[in-house]
Amino acid sequence: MTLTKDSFDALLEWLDPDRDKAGQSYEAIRCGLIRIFVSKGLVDAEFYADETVDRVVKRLPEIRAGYVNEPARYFIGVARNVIREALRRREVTTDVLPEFPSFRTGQSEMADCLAKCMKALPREKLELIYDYHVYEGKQKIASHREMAGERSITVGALRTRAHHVRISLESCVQRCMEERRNKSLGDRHNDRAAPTPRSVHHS
Amino acid sequence: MIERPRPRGVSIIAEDEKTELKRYLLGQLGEPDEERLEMRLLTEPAFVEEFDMMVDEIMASYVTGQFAGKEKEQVERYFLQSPERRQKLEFMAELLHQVDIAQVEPPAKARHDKRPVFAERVRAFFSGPNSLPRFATVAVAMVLLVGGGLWLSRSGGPTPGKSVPLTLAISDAERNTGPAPEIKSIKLPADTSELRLELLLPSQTTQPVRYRADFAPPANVQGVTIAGQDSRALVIAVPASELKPDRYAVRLFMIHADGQEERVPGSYYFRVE
Repeated sequence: MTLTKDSFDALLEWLDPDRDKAGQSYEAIRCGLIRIFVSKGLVDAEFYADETVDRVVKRLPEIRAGYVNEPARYFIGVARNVIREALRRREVTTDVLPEFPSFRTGQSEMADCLAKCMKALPREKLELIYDYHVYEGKQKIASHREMAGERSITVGALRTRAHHVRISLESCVQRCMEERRNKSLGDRHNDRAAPTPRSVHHS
Repeated sequence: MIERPRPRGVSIIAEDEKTELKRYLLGQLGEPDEERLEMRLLTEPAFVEEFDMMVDEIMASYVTGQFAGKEKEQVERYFLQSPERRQKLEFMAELLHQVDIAQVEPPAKARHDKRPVFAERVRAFFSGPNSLPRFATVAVAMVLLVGGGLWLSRSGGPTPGKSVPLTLAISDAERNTGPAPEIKSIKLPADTSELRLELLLPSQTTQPVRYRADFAPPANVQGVTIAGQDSRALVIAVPASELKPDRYAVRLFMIHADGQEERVPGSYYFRVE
């Protein structure tokens, strides 16, 4: 990332004269770019999002006076070039199907973390997520309608609530897995750092 | 298509827009439509949320086997290309696996009359279009009451009248064969201090040094202790005070010599009346 404070300020100024709104726009653009790069199958979407921002910042002095469209549109154009270049560089051809998880569920670190996170979830939210995913197809539609009716909300609002529960569960699982990884790394580090009887002798 | 100005933070997503979003995620849109949709992704937070929900829905549909043929190929070839999506897919698969368990073991709750009762949920699970690929169907569940008492008395177990034995066979949720699980119920007399569950061990290719068992969420059963183990079964003692009328699933883990734990596929199901 080559952004300096001045160039970042210039970018914010271009996005919106109101600094707070500009900050929100910047965040929205960056989050949107990450989703676009993930959707295009690029590894390290955040890197490409930052690369896009960098390129826009570099060109800003030339374009800002004459550019009349919404800034987001310019980002899209630059992002498309970044995608084209990245896809050209990509080593794996699109004819090769990637490997997929075999769904040996319930036996991974993620499964343990999810079980732990679900235990910590308030009962109401846990039941919401269970009930939301019970059925498929037509039964699902009817079930969601009924669930929404019970809660006096729309089906769309129910869908959003279920989504929010999934997001909180996913965040919890990620935290749990990171903690375990850090603990495991720490243990290994301590094992290495622990002096052996021989090293004690030599010191 | 004419772009309409949309207020930030307000989600007005029509069905055709959802379809378009899905087509974008599967790589089926032309460039002009893609750009228009991407523009919304960068400027409308509410649309971003809708985007994320659609990602989740495609994941869930994939995990539950809703895609077939060319569309399935597009999901795998395009939608699931990135590592982020694959990790998310793993999360979704685990989440739906937990839901599967809960369909057999629903949380205790005063359900609305019209809501699917337990039997309906189990039936829906086994008859639904997703039943085949969905981590395989729960296979065999046999609850054997006879013999538990004998085994327990042989292992110097419970005090008569205080401890109630129940022998369970594992229901293999990973193997997609056999009938729906038969879940037996047990009524605990008022003076019961503990339920002794004799968990019949499935045959294993690798023998662990020992086993561990716990209750699958959402049950939060404390104070479970190992009361005995031999080559045939693991016996756990569960305080009766921890068991409310509900359905439960007990999971079994093998602990190997190197300390690694491995879950034994399937669960031991039972119901307390």
